[in-house]
Amino acid sequence: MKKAALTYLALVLAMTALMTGAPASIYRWLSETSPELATRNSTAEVPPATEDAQMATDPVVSMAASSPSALATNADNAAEQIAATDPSALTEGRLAKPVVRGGDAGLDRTTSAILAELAIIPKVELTTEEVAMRDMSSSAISGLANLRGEESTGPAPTLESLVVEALRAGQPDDYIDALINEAAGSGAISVPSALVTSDGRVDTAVLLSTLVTKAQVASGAVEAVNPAEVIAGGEGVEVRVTASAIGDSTQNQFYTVASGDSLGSIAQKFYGDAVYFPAIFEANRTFLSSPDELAIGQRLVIPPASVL
Amino acid sequence: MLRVLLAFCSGLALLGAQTVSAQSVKLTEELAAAELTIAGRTVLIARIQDETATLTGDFAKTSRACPPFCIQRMVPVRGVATVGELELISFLEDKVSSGAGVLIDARLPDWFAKGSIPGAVNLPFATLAEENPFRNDILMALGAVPLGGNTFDFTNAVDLMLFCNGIWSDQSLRGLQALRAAGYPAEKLRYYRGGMQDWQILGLTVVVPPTTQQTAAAETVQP
Repeated sequence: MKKAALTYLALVLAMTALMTGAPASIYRWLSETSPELATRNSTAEVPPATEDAQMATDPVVSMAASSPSALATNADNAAEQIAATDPSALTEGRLAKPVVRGGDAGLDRTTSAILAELAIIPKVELTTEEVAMRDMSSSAISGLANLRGEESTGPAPTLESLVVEALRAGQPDDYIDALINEAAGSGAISVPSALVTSDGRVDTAVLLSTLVTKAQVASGAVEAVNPAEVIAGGEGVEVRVTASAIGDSTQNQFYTVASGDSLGSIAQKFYGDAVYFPAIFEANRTFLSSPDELAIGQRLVIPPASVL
Repeated sequence: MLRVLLAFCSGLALLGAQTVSAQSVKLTEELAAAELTIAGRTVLIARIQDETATLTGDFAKTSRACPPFCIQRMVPVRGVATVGELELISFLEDKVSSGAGVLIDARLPDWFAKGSIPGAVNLPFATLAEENPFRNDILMALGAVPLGGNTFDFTNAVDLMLFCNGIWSDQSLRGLQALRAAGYPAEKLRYYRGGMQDWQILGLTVVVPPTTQQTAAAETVQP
């Protein structure tokens, strides 16, 4: 059953690749990493399947891979651009943690924008207000640059553009992690606050697994996780059952923040999807002024899935 | 020959009239107009020379509904200096020309597009709110150095002077409050309370900004 679903996903993605001209490597990446990345705590390296093996078993993917040379050129260009922003090149002045972006919708917007750029989901419909805010902000930033007499050198890298280029170039997860963390550490890009870990890093594992889940849901290969059915367990999870006078019992969940956790990863652990992080943030506002202020050892209240 | 002479005379008369009128409405007794260079472009700030000119349209109104269009305090944000037109012109000369300051039109783009003070950059008050995903990018464009998260070192950030439609508008105030909340030091902020209303009452130069700023910028921040 699972195999059938994955084959279906591969088919859908490969068809999309054929129609949109996106390189096949993204789809290879998605199909390779999806089963493992769909759940957190399994960020261990996935041994990359060889391209040949992939092609041999999947005629549609092999068609996509051998379609017009323009595809290959695109991938090469992306690889060159990535090489230009090689992680080792960005080393001066490390920040204690990345610059964050405000707004609860940040993480969802980021993943939607990446998948839309990769033509896996349709272009994201921004609200009029979001469009206005984006246009006003970019206009202001370029106005300030003009004032300083700076020539416009094209769009600056963003978290979204770097991830899209790396996926197009077929880069592995650990490369993406290093690339994003170097760029964020130098202040070159800002990231959604739910992706900042208790150690001040960018949680690329949650970003990538959220991308995979979202792509699978969009393709119809899997159904969206029902947060009420997720049962979190393991280190740091604490469940308390309190019985009330009238015989009802309420369950209170707590979680102690560990190294490497982000609010997104905790939401994924308890609700199956990182986009639910605002519920945890709101429940803990008394000592969290921003989602990026998680500290190791902090004890968070985890609201029941019914509040989502 | 006569025609040439006539043309010459009328030319002289025209020239004379211009010279006279150029001096009839000065900025101050000593200063007829201010000529500055901002971002490589020459900017002239002068007053309308037609002594019968009056305001018409939007800025001739006396009684907008309050709220939202309420009278602003002289010093609305503690520590932020309130300035007038001459201080604004000096700010353009001393700070903006050298890149150490930015004159900010805090109104929304549709108002900015209708006309603004020469040298101003449109940074709408709403974009300075923490909820704007690009707010921190704007702070960095103003010279704030990120320290991680939502914190910044403003030591090398530029001086800012904010204005909006003026005495009946709270948009500068909201922009100033948002900047202060982000940690922008009060001594780096100034408030031109008169705004576009007072600027135009004095017949000072208003420029319609080139629309290219909008289109070129649309691609800068993504997504």
